[in-house]
Amino acid sequence: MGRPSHKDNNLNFSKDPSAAIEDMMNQYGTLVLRTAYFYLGDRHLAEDISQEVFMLAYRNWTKFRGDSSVKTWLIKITINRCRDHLRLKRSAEIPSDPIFINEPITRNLEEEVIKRMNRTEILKHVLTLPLHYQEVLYLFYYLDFNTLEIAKATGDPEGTIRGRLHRARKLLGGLLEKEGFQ
Amino acid sequence: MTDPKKDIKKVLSEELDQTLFESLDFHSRLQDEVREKLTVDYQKGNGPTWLAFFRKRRVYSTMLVTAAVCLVFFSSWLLREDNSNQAQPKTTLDNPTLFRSEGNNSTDPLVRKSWALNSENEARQVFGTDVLLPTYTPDQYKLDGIYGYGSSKEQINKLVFTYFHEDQSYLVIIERNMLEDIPHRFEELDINGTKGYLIPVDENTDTELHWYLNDIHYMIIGAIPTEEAVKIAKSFK
Repeated sequence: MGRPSHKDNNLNFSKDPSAAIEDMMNQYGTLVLRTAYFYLGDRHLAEDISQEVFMLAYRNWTKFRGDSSVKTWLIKITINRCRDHLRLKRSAEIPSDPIFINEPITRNLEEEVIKRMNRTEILKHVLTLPLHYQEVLYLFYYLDFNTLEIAKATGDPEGTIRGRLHRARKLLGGLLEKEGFQ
Repeated sequence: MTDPKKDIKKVLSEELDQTLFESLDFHSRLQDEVREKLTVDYQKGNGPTWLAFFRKRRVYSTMLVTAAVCLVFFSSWLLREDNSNQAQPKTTLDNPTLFRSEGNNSTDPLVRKSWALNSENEARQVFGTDVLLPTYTPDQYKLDGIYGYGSSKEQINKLVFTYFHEDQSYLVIIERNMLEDIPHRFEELDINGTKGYLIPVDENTDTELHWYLNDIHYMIIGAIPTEEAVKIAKSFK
């Protein structure tokens, strides 16, 4: 299956949660699932989280004011749920040292996936960066979010996102330059 | 000349699709499970528009036609449920999937199972009456669930309270028999006479607050302002 459409228009979504949830799952289900997987690196967990996201979206649909696009709203819920899970996991690994907060994600990847990833030009470098740089690059390049949308989805100020994106691209650029990526 | 930014976007997106995300789609089985869970949710009293949900799925008329048949099956199912509904770990539909991974291996005694608890009273009952629980909840936040962790429901030694306001959330985590562990970097504050450790989190979106009292580790963590987290901490009774 190809990438899901990135088009979003709040007017296309019914005010009725029952109808809206169907459209949300069809239009953004795969993006939500992939985003959860990107954060958590566990396929089954990502499936669980993405289902939770749609249940939360269903329950909160009548409160959604349309301050952001539906896509941004769903991704924001996804990120929050993933962060909750990571917090819970971290709380089980006391001592909790803030130094580890931005550790790169450990993904349980199959050997074949790792082999393929090692052959990639850009992805292998992105995944070596600290989590907050991975996050901003993923949201910017893969989800097509602008800095304002990233700010809404992550809850960080837009100025912070701009700076972070700049540093992430610079770091990535340096790594790519070493490999002669044009 | 091509735009290098566009090239990075194109290449990175393709690489993500072909490696990490290969065959990772929100397919119909996952969608069906969401519908199923929403129905169960309604049956537990949490779904405001269950009827509309079914109506929109164009099965309303079918429901009417088959109502009589369903009633017969439902009655027999109820009778069976009465016999089998003993106090035992709830089904996966009762437990939020977010926490399921912690206790899904029932053969390993070291792996903790999780239970959805119905009230603060039940939490106190299964954890121990010496536990302090929050009495203050910030405006607009609502308690979403209480979960107990342990090798059995009688030996629960960790409680997790989840609170939501729309898409924002925070957690209260309470764990017994935790040795006091002083974080490397912290701001010290007073919580009703007990030393609290406020951990500086990277950006200003998260708060993480710890304190220890009578061998119990209390923790508030999530997307709430520090001021509110301290108010919650001071409200524990």
